[in-house]
Order: sequence, then C-alpha cells, then structure tokens
Amino acid sequence: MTILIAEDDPVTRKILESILIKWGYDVIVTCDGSEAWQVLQSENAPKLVILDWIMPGIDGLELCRKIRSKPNAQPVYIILLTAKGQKEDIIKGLRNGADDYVTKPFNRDELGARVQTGLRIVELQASLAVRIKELENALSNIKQLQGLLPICCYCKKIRDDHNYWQQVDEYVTQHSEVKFSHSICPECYEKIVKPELEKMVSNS
Amino acid sequence: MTEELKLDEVLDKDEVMERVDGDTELLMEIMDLFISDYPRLMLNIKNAIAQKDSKVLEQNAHALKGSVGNFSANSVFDIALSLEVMGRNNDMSNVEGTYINLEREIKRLMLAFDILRKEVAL
Repeated sequence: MTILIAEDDPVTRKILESILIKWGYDVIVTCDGSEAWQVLQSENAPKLVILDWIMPGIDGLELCRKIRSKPNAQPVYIILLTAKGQKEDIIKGLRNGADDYVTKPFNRDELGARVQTGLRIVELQASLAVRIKELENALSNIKQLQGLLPICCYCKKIRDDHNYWQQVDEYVTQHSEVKFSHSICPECYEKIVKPELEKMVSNS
Repeated sequence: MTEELKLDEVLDKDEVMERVDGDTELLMEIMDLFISDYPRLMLNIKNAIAQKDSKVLEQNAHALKGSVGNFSANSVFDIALSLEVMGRNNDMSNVEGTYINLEREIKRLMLAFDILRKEVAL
C-alpha cells in the first residue's frame, strides 16, 4: 500500500516518511500541495494521503477540495495534519473533504492507528468497487433481455432486431447465460405425446 | 553555560525518542534538518517584524512552531506560538521583545541538541 505525504516542514516530513516506511508502507513524499496534486493525477495514484494544512502554494484545505471535486475520481482517504488546539481548523478540514486528522506534533501510536483506520476504509472501498463491477456486468446481461419483444401469438417465435423469427429457447440462449435442457411437461405429455403414442400403438 | 543547561529544561527527550521510535539515526537526521532549516525561518520572522508584515510573521512563526514541536521543545514552541498569534491578530506591540526571547531559546535548543547528540551516541 502506497501513502502520499504532502508536508513542507522537512523535520515532520522526514519523521513521517521514516515511520511509515518502517511500518511497511511505500511512501511518496511531496513538499507542497501542487506537487501532491500532480502525483494524484497519475494512474494508480495513492489511495491514502497525509496532508499538511498550511503549505505554500496549494494548501491542505484547497487540496482536499480539489480531490473531492474531481469527477469520476478514485476514492482517496485524506488525513489532515493540523496544529494542536485549532479546533476550528479541524472542523473546516473535515467539512472540506478530509476523512480524519492528526494534530502536530503527532503521537506515533495515534498516527499508526489512524493510518490503519484509513487503510481499512480504502480496502473496503476497493472490495465494494469490485462487487459493483460484477453487479454492473450481471445487470448488463439482464438488460439484453429487457424491453419489448415481438412474439408470435400462435407458434411463440420471437422476432429479433434483424427481423428474423426464431424459437424462444434459441433467442434466450443467444441473449443471456441461460442454457436449456429440453423435456416435456405433464400437460403436453397428456395433450400431445400420449395421443401420438396411442396412435402409434393402434397403427401397429 | 553548556554545563548549566539541563536537557529536560529545553526539550522532552522521552517524547522525542518515542516519536522517532527509538531510532537514534533518525533523531540525528532530524536535528540536522532543523539546524539547516531554522535560520531561514528566523530570518523571515525578523524581516516580517522589521516590515510589520503580520501575515509573513504568522506563516513563518507557524512553520517554526510546527518544526520545533517534533522535538517537544516547549519554550521555543510557546514563543513561536505567541508570535504566530500576534501575527494573526496583527498585534505588533510586543513582537521585538518576543523575538529576542525566541533567539535566546533557539540558542538553548542548539545546546540541548549537542547534549542530546552526546547522550544518544553513548
């Protein structure tokens, strides 16, 4: 799992980087918001970012807004770094799209716990995205069998888009994952098969 | 003066060691990073005071506070915080005196770094 850091203070940046690497994460380090924004444009961009609030150029808050307003974006979990005691900043940060915050100077265990919480959400979102993809595929198959189908009142053949009349079973097999096993229902047995058999017996 | 200075009057060693997960190499590295970065912030603060630029004062005092906070150096942290607040409130009445205190405490922090270096090298 890769984590993106955006922090202008070299001391904090170094500690964050070292600790996260020690915990086994891959880390991309940036020194300001613009650089972090560039990284987030790439394919397979990190899904978890730790942003400092006050940075030159694009600050953490503006970056939160930019990330959230990007259309069709992959979900990104944002942890905002804020100065201790600035509660109004925390509220503002969360309202502008941050998922969580850590106050500076940070406590190592607290940071670790919050990163883990973030990763849990990221993994949950990833597995949900896979399920949604599966469901979308299933739905698109079903959609092939939706809509108005012209059917013959007598022989029950179906007319397809190419104006071709075909058997119901053929049509359904072509437009879905359904396979038919052919057999005879009791009613048809009585009505068709039995008289046929009797005719054969009487003929012989 | 070095002999007189007690480390725990300037910074909280236990807290710093906890923050770097007991990694003395990392500790040395962040001390070096701070030493190479803080003169820039101090100069910006000094210039901001001379030019009565409260915005630049606030930004640079905030940056210094954030950086020094990693060393749990409470006196420098508190002075940087008061300069930040003065900048935010555009109250420049006490900035010169506060800056002198900041310079004094930064000097003490540098001495504390020297002690810390010797202690962790043991």
